[in-house]
Amino acid sequence: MSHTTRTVHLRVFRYKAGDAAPHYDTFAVTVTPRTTLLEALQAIRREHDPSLTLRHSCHHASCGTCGMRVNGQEVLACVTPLHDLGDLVTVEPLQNAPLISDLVVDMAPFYATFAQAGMPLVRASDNEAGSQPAAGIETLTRFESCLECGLCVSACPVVATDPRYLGPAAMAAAWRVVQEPRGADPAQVLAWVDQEHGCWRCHLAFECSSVCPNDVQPGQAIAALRQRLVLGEPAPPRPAARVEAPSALPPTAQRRGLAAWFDPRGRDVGYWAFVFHRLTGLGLVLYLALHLWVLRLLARGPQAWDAFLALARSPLFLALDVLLLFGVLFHGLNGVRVALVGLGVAAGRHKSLFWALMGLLIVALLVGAWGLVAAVHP
Amino acid sequence: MSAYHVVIIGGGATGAALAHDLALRGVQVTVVERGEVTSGTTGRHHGLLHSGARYAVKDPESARECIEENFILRRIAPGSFELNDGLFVAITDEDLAYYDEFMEGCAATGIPTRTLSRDEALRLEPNLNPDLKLAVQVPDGTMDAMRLPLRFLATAKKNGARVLTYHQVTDLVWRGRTVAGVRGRDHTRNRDFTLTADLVVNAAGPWAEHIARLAGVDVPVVPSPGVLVAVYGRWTNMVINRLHRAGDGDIVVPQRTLSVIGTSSWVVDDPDHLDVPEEHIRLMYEKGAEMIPALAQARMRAAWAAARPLVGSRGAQSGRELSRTFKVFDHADEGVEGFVTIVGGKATTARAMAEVTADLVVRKLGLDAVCRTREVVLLPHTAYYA
Repeated sequence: MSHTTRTVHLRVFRYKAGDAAPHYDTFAVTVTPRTTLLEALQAIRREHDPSLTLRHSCHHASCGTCGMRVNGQEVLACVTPLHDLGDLVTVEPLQNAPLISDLVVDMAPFYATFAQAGMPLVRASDNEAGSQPAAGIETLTRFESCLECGLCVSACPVVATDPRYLGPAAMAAAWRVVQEPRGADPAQVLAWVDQEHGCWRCHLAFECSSVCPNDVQPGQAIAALRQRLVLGEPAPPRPAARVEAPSALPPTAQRRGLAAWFDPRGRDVGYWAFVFHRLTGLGLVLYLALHLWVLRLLARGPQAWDAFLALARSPLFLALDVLLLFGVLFHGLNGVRVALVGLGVAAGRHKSLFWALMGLLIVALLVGAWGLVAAVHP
Repeated sequence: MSAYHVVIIGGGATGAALAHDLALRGVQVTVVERGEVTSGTTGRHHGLLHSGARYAVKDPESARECIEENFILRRIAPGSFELNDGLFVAITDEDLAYYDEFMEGCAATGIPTRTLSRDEALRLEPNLNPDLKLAVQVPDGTMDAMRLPLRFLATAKKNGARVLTYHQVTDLVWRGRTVAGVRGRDHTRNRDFTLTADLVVNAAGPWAEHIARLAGVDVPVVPSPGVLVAVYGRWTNMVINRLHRAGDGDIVVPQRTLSVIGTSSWVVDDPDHLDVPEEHIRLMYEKGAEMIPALAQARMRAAWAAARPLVGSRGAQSGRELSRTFKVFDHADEGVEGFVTIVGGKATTARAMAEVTADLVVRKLGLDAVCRTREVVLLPHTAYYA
């Protein structure tokens, strides 16, 4: 297996403090089916450029240090084989974090928020339920699943536009504290997420869950927090804001802002739904404005209105009507999904729900389009 | 705080524990690390909080260090370990024949043991090889290879220490025959840097020989890599060791949602260039499955290699014959003042290594400050980033 080597070109993001702008350097590396991105970057540092900086530690996706973006998608470099990623692979640092140099970002803002959830590192073990604890062991324990890698925070479109948003990692940790308090007060944690920049801010793109390397499912955790807040025992009076998310990141932060809302490259289905929800939302606002403008014609008398009706029968106008119908159906049906999943209903099956609703959309769109055409050209 | 400034080369477990120790003694400390902290050997180790039982027969000095530090770490780093204990399992009659020697070794080095029958062991760990003859419970545990050193560094920083990552030392500053600082490259801004110091400690692990060469001295460190394989699933809750003389693939450490099988052992010249031989990965699966048969089918998460910084002569064959204990060198013995090297040891014994090194450092600086790291509880790892 290790004999099937090939050459891959890595296009690596480069930046040093004081540089006017980042640039990319391309390196050719020889890879086997087992060669990971981390090994390739180490080889580059060893053989081509010792000034290349990157974070790494455990080399088996347990420490969460080597998070970066490959062709736009967040990964842990140590468990990302290069062999099947194509001939040219773009490697960039995580987003939504201050850039230090090359592929290294500053994790301080991440931990400033994350640590406030107060999740202990060690939890009750859920594995191997058949095991009895040995003499002298009260409860079998294990480390929490969250690796604190920050991939979810980099991938989240809401973090990209709201610097005060608590973000998926911290809220997944908060949900773990609610699930297993280990001495903490769940009410306090619930009060923490029950705020403008907390769990209500999430727009359910679920990209956090898609990129999570250890199946923590932050998106589902946020939905569960909302459900608990809506249905759960009443929360006590909210304590004085115990949390201050950093109000602004330094200018070197790789924050893409609104651009992130409309760029689904390398993203999963939840993100596409998020993008289309925004596009159709904007489209519907535009349509309403147009609609009101057209209604002005009524005031100009029957002649003006008849002229408009003739235009409305044209094939182009009918096509626009079908597009409008798509917008209404998508925004409405995905809105149903957002409302349900956002309150924790079927959060674990949000993708299946999406596709089922899209099936419904296609049927409704075909029936509606046929109805439109039949009405105009009987 | 004293006016003395000590530069520590290497941000691994040793450098982290030493920074903490010296900062507590009131020394100004700067850790310089050429990459991210714990990116060398430290982050990549097995994640085993050693009871010392593995070394009880052949390497009693290391065994004693392990068990003593094991209990100190539980006290100063609460919440940092999966404390599920470990089992030494006898699978074959040959393993069983080793039992008496093993128990004597543990008794002599102060490692608590409890012998379990086959049935008792299987009740604790149903996935063990049903052929096992007996098992011995010892106070092993699982540690997070990165987050424990981060607690040392976090506490050191709180006490005034500085940590400079991506700062590669390429040269030393000299005052006559005395080392008076370090020079190198700051890779975050592509600029040279110079740090003056009253004393420089070489804690570069398997790279220690390379650093020592900058001072024109020699330290006997043998970079000895081992392959580790992480598979999906926790097949046991306890650490599983083979009850026999330390060999390949005879420890399985459950960690987070994974099980880590290790290790092998060979010797290299360049710790920057570690292969992960295919046959070593196969060997880990094979040997691991002798203790836990289900491992043979477990899906692999990652395979990697880490270089142990063993103390020994260059004639070493596989590294297995070398002790896991540590050694501190005062290079004044070779005519170079202001320069100390610490090599060897294990993550479990990093605090003890730091204590012995810091004792020498304060003695050389003429300070009167005692070690306090046995008592001071460490800050959480998240504080490192604060």
